[in-house]
Amino acid sequence: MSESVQAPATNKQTGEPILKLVNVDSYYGPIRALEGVNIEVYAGEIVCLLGSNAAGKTTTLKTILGMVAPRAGQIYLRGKRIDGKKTTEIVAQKVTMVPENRRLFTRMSVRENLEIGAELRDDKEGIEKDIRRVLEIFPRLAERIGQKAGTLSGGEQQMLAMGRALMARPEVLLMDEPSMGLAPILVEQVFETIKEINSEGTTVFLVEQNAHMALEIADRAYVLQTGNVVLSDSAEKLLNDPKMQEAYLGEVT
Amino acid sequence: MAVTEVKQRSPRQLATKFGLIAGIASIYFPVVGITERFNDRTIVDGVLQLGNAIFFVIALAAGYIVAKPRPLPGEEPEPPGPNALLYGALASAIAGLMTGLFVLLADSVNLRPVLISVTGGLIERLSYGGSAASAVLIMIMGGAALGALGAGLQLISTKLRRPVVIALGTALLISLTEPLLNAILREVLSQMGLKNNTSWLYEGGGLSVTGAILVLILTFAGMSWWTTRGSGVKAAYKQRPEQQRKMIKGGALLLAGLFLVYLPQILTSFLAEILGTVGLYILLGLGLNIVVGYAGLLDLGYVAFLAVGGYSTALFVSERSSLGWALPYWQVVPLTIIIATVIGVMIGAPVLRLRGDYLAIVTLGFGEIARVIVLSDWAAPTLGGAQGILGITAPEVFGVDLRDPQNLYYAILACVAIVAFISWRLSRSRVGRAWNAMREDEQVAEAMGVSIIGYKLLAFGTGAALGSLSGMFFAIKLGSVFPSSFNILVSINVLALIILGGMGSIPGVIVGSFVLVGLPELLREFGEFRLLIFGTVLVSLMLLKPEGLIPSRRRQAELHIEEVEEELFEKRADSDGPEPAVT
Ligand SMILES: Nc1ncnc2c1ncn2[C@@H]1O[C@H](COP(=O)(O)OP(=O)(O)O)[C@@H](O)[C@H]1O
Ligand SMILES: [Mg+2]
Repeated sequence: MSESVQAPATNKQTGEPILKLVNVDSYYGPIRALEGVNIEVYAGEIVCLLGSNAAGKTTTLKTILGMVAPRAGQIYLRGKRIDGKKTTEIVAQKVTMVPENRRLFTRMSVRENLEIGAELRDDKEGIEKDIRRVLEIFPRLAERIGQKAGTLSGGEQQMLAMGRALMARPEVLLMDEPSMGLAPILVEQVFETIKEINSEGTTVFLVEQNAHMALEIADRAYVLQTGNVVLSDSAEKLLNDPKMQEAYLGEVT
Repeated sequence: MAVTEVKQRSPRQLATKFGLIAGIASIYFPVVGITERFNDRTIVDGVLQLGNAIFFVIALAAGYIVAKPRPLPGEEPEPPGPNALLYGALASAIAGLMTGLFVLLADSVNLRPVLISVTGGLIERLSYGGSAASAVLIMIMGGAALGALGAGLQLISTKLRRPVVIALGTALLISLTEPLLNAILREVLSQMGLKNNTSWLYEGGGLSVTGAILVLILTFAGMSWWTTRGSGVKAAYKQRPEQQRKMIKGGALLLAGLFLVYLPQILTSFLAEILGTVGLYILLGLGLNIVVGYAGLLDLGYVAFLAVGGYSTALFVSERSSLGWALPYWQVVPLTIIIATVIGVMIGAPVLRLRGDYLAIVTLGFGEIARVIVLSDWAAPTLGGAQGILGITAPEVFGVDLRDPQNLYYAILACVAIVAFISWRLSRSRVGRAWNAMREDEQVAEAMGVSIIGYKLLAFGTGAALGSLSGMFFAIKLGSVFPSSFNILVSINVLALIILGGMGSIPGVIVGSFVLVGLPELLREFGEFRLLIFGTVLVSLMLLKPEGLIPSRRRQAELHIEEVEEELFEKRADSDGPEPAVT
């Protein structure tokens, strides 16, 4: 279903894409989870990957990070191949993930979680400065800096998961369903923060089931269905696309 | 909130149930021979022997458990009324009846062909001088009295109960450690120029009557003071500035250290020997603690590194080894550590992808392989096969001759101090943090950039190096090494002492070693029942205090955090409500 040559949908699509998946196939044993997936993300964008349960969204992120090795296709980061590389090597190139369900180190303190996020950095002062910066973005974490991460509420946990990822000073931030299990008001806050992070220069690749909210902040989006990209366009067009409204936006509008 | 159906039993049913359990337990101990064997040991001279004490404890416990308040979930526990005494007495009377009937049965029918421990002598002693029929009566009445007493413990306030229970426990402990404590006491008294007469405390291998009263009163008084004032003292300590607290802690550590340094001066050589063994196990425990406690890699073949250390030392030090030449110790020590680290990493590399139980099974295999290799025809020319390697001469370090057991003890002590310090620093370092993250969630840790392979190999390597260090001392201590010394029981012992003390906790390793290695050496009577007691103690501890005796702060949180998480989850489910699903 993928078009080989795409007309730029937004004005941010200039130059070489920072992240590019070309005809990627991923398998879990004999099960094919991704089938010829093509995705391009340009620096400075918020690109959204939509799709219902088990569509292969998480698998896409895992494939980018090398946690699932693609069986076919190529993945480029800043024009260089990264498929087949080890996860730590890819992470070291400033690609960071906020995993599905937060997956915090629940038995470690808020502070230790943030420090682990900076595992690949060596600049002690810079790390301290960034911890302060994260705490400024999420003041509720500042009050709970010594508390075990497992004792935080759902919203706070999502903030910590984002803060932990920011500690790596990522240039590309991969986020897996940050709105999952949160009350609507918290979801709004989370998306607000994503926009803020993006406006400071971080490219965001956002996986969501919450299509409506995600499209509101995204520049462009891809729609995944059982491992295939079935739609891709600017967020604005998708919001008004009748196919999209029927399949993913329902009557929520 | 989840609705769980609670089966509520009437007090009489409860009393019957626990009475039957207690009855079975009271018959079990004499039948397997524990009662007779343990009666060689005095608890209070002329009053109570250890074997009989077991009956008392069972009867007390049955009454105590039956009388325990059992509130419905969500209800405030009601303090038990005087009826509880009755039911407690009933439970233990049932236990007494069962034991009595057993004595009666054994008296009339010869059970020896089936149960070899049920001798005429045992029946006679269980009848307490009278006929078997009178024994039934005594046991029912005695049981009822003790059961009521146990139940009475539930009636009195916690402030009173804790000191009573702790006083009884302390008296038991002080009595059981008589061989150690009495020797120390005598020596201290005579060194202070006093008569070394200790009959005011110890007599006939246990506490004397005055000693028992003394211990009970003193502990009770001390604990009562602590239960009423302890929290105040703790709060005062917490309010001290950080610096002062550190000094208090350091002072306490220093005192403990001085005591350990002074200890061999006042111990018989037998006891000093035991201390040395405990020290070796502490070293082993600290090493395995890094692998299991810090990095979360369940290694059941740790004995392999004890063997590597022992054999490497033997090979290079003994003139009678197959090499035919010997190296000086200052070369042997680093050589051994390097060999062990390399082997540790080599063993670690193939199992990097394995987790949890798979890792445990494979490492278990490696532990056995080490022993089998040493015994094999292939390695026998080098490592001596079943004959082992003899003639390991102890070194002289800075003019101190380690052939002297006392000096060897000091060397081990110094080594323990150094290794404990290194472990402590490691747990607080960046490496320790990465190990923690890896133990919690390997996948996410990797996605954060933690090099899983690197940190696992580091854990295996460090653990191996420390294990070989105790192997070295082991070889020096015995002057020889044999394959039979390096069996799987050592691995299990070391793991058990870590679990007992509390995973990841350094003081836990030390206490665990004393309890699991030192105590059984003192209680030689327990010899044949050692594994039985071992198992019982471990199972009860895991039920009562799963985080271990001295849990590391982190582990304590780990085992109790689920409760907090559940609570939070429930709260969230109440307030947030699920999202409308987008399909
Ligand atoms: N570890 C795994 N092993 C086998 N199959 C998996 C694994 N993870 C995911 N899958 C399968 O791959 C498909 C895509 O899953 P996933 O990427 O998690 O979907 P999504 O994140 O869109 O909900 C699903 O059919 C799922 O069952
Ligand atoms: Mg998913």
